[in-house]
Amino acid sequence: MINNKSFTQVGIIGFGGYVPALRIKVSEIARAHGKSAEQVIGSLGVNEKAVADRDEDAVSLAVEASRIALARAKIKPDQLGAILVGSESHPYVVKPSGSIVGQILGVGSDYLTVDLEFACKAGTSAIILIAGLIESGLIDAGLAVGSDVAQSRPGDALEYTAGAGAGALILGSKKLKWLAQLNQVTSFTSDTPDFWRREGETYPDHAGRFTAAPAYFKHVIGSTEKFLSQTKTKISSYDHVVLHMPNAKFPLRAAKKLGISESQLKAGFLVPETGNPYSASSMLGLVSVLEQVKPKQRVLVTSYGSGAGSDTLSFTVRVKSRPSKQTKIHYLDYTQYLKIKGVI
Amino acid sequence: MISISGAYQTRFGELWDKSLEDLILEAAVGALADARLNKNKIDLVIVANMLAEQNHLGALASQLLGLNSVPAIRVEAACASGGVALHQAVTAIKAGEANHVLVIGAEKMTDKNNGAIAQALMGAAGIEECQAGLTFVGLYALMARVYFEKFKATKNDLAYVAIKNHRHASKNPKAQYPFPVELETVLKSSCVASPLHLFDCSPITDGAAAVVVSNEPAAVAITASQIASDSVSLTERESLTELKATKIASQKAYEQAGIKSNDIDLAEVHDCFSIAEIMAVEDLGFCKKGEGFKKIKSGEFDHDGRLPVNLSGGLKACGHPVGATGIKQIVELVTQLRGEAGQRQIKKPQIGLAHNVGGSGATAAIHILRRA
Amino acid sequence: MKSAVQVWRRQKTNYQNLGKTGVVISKTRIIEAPNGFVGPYWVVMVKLDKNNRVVGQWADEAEPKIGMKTVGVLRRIGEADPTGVIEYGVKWKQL
Repeated sequence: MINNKSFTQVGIIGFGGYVPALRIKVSEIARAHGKSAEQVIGSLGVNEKAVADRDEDAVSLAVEASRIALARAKIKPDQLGAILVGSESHPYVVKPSGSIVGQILGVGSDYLTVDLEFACKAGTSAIILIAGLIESGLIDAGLAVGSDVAQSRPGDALEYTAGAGAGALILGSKKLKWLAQLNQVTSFTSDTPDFWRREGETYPDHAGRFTAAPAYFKHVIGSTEKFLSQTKTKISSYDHVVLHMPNAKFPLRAAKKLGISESQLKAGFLVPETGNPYSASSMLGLVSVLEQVKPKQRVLVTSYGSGAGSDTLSFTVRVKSRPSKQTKIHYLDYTQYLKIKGVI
Repeated sequence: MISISGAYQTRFGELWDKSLEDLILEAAVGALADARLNKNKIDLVIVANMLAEQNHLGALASQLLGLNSVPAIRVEAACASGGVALHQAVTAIKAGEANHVLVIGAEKMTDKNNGAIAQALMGAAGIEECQAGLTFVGLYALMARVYFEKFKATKNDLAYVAIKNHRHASKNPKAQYPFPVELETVLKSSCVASPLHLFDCSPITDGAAAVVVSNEPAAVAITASQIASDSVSLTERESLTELKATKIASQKAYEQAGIKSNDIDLAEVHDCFSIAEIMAVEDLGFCKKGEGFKKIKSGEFDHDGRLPVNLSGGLKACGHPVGATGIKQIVELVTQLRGEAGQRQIKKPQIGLAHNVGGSGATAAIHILRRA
Repeated sequence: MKSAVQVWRRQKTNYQNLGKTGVVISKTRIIEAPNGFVGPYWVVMVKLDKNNRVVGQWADEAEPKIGMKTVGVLRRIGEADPTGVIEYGVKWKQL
């Protein structure tokens, strides 16, 4: 049982997102497989997805996002007391991404790190754990990252949406300047085998239509409703809501069930143009929101990780932040995409 | 007088059935025969080689030749191994340590595939150059790009190096590519590392060359032997359009020989890439900085020009077995100075210069030879 | 396979240009790549704002141009052997 705890010592002091500059259009993938682009785009609501270059991985993406977050936080890297990197594409099965990220960022040795995995929700779970460390007084600043270079079997439905990206959040104690305050969190978990990847396997497997009602919807709605009831808040009191986005359809349908309007979803709704960056999905949605918020606004995030579970978190904004620079996009054709992925 | 009393080079090319040992032996025996010297007169054996996985090449050469107890060493300075080895021979004689030194330059490159060779050659480059995914072609390409900007040269201007050297090689039975090439062929050749194309690059070659350096008069005397070094990494150089090591070593060599650059009658220069020959003729003082590509194009360095450069065909057309090249250059000069160069002989040359470079310019070895 | 110890030792220098800015002063497109790399790719020489020069692989889809402003980004160096240690370092992107 998770307690109804209001955080008093934890705020966001920095945030950053990194999405690779390469893209491939869903229509191009559909063409390669002889499918109707119109039908595919219609069913998923996704137009294109981000593709990591052959020399990018979950660690390199995490570093890029974290550097942006550190610049916003205006702290020295060695002030970080903990680094938690959540991913389902950690470059090593044994050897933590967190220590590599820490080394590259110049954090020194005086920090705690351990890698996290919970499909697409490992990033938000990292936030919760970092918050706990700060609230307890063990650390004053911690870095939570969700980063993935998503794998998908060529020809599988996932290929249209499995993308890449990293979202980083730096949380800090009252000693540091807050851009937003963390209010409350909860989590909702069950053993639901909707999507999984065995050790040694390159590509994940999934249970088709089973990934909807008993998986995504049960946990996203379950966690959000539990959170609203515990915190005695109404969904309408949140100016911005971020839901995990495996495609465009699922979060829009969940939003309808929860009474979330499209305008509440808008600021964080990246999936049509980036695809699903797995652990970075909710994180990048939150980062995008934070670039557009006004002071006093309230933000709600519900992530989803297959296997299965959802985290729900809420924040109250203190300070308006400047949006980050846009990067130039470059489109690949399917052959170039396969070459980069190492399939050919 | 320190002289070259014997000189020999093997054929250069893809010599599939010859091992490194075979090449070392053939060159050494050939040089000794040319010197009419009994092998037991040799006081010191020096082997110049860069890439062999076999270590202890000095002792190996001694074993192959059946020389007992002779001091034997290996010298490595990337592609300048040959020139530096010769310098060591001269130094040993001057120190009174030897009267006859056998210097063998040898390289066996074709046992590996191209990707492996490119990677192995990068052993002569800086670690960050390797990490950047550079090859030696790439390093010289970076220099070429800056040279083009500075001196208004173009990719097409590079072609005349290959055309000249192939024309020269067509008269050299030992060359890897003993045939001329058309401008069209050169210009259309595939890109290796822009702006350098296939015909801007010396090939992968097996071969060996050997000389006997003697502390007594012979037909050809060594009147200067100088080496100089510079940073391994290209980024640490003062200038990206010249090789300082070449300038310094050649200035010291001209001084040692008591001559000026325009006293040179023929030269073997280090054309690992076309741009290298262009910079070489400038750095050696054969023409003004920035004029090299124009002078090569206008025929100044042709066999019938003012100062024939690379009558052997150079590295491009004769071939470039890395450790052997510096010695091969000496063999060519000796052959020309003795009047034994047959179809590629030029009229009564007196003074020749050999220019041997290691890596992207980190080592330069200059030798000046004179008809005695 | 890269030596794990050498990769570890190179940590001291591999990341030093991350986030640094400079100007492209030379470039070459490597068509024939050495073992351990998959071509083709651009390699650039950059003059950093502190005036020293570095070389590095280009990590942008846009072709590098002489005089272009550039910034160092984090990427994998070379092709990682499937069972070996991964090396990270700095490559260059248009600023």
